Amino acid sequence: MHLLLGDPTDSWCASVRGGLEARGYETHLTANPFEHPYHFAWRLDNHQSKSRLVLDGLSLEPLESVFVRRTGWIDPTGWRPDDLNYVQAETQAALLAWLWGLECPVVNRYPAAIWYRPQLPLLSWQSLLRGCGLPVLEQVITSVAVEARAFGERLSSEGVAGAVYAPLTTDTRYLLTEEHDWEALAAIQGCAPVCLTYPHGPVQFACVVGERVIWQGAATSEMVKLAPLLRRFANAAQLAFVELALGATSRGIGVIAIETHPNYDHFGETARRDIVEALVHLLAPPTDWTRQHASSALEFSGAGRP
Amino acid sequence: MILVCGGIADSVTELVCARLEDCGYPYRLLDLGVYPVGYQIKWHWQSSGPSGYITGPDWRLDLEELTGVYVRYLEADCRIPPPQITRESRSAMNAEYDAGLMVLLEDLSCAVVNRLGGGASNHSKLYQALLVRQSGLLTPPTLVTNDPAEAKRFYQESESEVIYKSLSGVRSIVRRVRQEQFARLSLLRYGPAQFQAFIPGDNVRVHTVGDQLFATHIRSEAVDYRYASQDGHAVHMEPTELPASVAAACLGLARQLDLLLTGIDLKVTPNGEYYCFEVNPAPGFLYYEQNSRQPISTALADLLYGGMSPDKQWRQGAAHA
Repeated sequence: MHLLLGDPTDSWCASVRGGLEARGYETHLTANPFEHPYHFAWRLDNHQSKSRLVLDGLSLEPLESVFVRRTGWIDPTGWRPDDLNYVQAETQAALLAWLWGLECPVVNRYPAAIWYRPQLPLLSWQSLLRGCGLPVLEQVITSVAVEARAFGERLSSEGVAGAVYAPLTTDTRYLLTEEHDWEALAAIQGCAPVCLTYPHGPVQFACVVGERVIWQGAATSEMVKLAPLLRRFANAAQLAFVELALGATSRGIGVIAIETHPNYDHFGETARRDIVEALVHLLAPPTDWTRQHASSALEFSGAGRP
Repeated sequence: MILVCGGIADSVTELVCARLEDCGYPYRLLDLGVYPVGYQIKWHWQSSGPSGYITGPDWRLDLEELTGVYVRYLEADCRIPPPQITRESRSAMNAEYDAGLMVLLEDLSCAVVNRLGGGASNHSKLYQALLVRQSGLLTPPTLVTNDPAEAKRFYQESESEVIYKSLSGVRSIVRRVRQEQFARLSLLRYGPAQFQAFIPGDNVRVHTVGDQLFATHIRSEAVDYRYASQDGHAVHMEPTELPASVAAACLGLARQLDLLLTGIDLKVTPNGEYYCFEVNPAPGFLYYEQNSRQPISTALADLLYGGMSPDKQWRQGAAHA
């Protein structure tokens, strides 16, 4: 059985499920396998790690793979907030550990740091990106209005039209070009430091799936040269399935976003088909030859068991 | 120069500051109770790690001067927000403040106690248990289930000697399972719970500070000694020595998690076997230092002042856990 952890409306789940079933594999989709009507039991000690997952009297195990899009969702209806927070935390904790205890391929087998903070700011990845040789954007966090202005003026002297205000905890971005933009930014700095970075041109999305790098549309040759570094990054981050966004700035190409739960809408039909095919190959290597090939990909990408 | 990020009302942070003063090690306090009010910062990332400064009421600290950082984040109710922040936006603003500090600390090359990444493992005790199994320490027989029948079976197999506790980072009091609680097992349908075979013996708390280790033997009749007084029990602590293999396993766990300071909960059985229950990334070591007189805070101060020598840069080899 191939288990998909996600919402029925999640497009990646639906597509991967379709891909697996088209190859004759049994699948099961759920947002939370640890609540009624599922019967779950996992025994762990120094000698064994054995789990049992049953639905309507039928065992869903042995699991051949798990595709992860949700981290244990609980319908909040009818819950008191404190109780909901508790059962949510317990479910997420159990699910994270169970996924790491499974022998089968898991995509993604998220490290705890990402499991609990899936929307990490780009700056959190800065050290890993640099370590993998990927180009990063210059950024500054400051509470000092003069420093923010100096950053903007330096960009202006390089012929760049404005700077970008990029809050760390939201995806919203603001282009600062006019005097009143900078005045508004200074007002924000009165109560919070702000993060500024370079403006960038059109975004090029790339998805790393195991050893494959799949571009949305036609990437420039300069970007395609980065493919080995993108794979290195995915491997270092222990992510078999990760999306990166690249953008051209006045100083060259830079990584402008990382999505640990890749966004379906960022990719067109051709790219989606390639991504799904690559995912299905990771989850269910179809032949001996491909199995060998996929095993090395799993080992490389962290999808396999540590 | 050392940077301490925390609240002055927090007793552990207060102890760290006091110990730094006692040792004569210069430090600056970034008071997270009021931050960012009263401080100015500029943290600049170019093609390498961050550079820049923090200024306080009467000081300026360049990031290049840092030898070590100690951080202990505060709950929302321990913070005084800037006056212009509305009640509705406080939570979002606190998240933004913390996110900025976190990205800085993650990327500094000096000793940071502790970076957030490794600490995330503490949100799942079972995830940690998988790491513990690899370290050579023992893991108690454990059941995670949402099935009442399975919980009863485990109870019987364990000869009625079973405890239950949270498996997430939510703090809970460890309790024994009693037969009269079986009626409540039907609540498991809403989500899983953790049951463990009760391990007899004494608790041993281990604090690792860099490559140093302090083991404290705890004697108490309470199932959860942290709450012994609530149950009318006493607690007695004294320094103890660990077998070399156990000490090495504890240090290895800390290193694997990229944690320069840990509080590791062990239990030693009458047969001399060591079971590991948890690796705490933000240990409240004050309680143990006061009771055992072990110089944990002094070791921490030394670490923050001396930094980590290049051969001890744990981050190079640490798992991105």
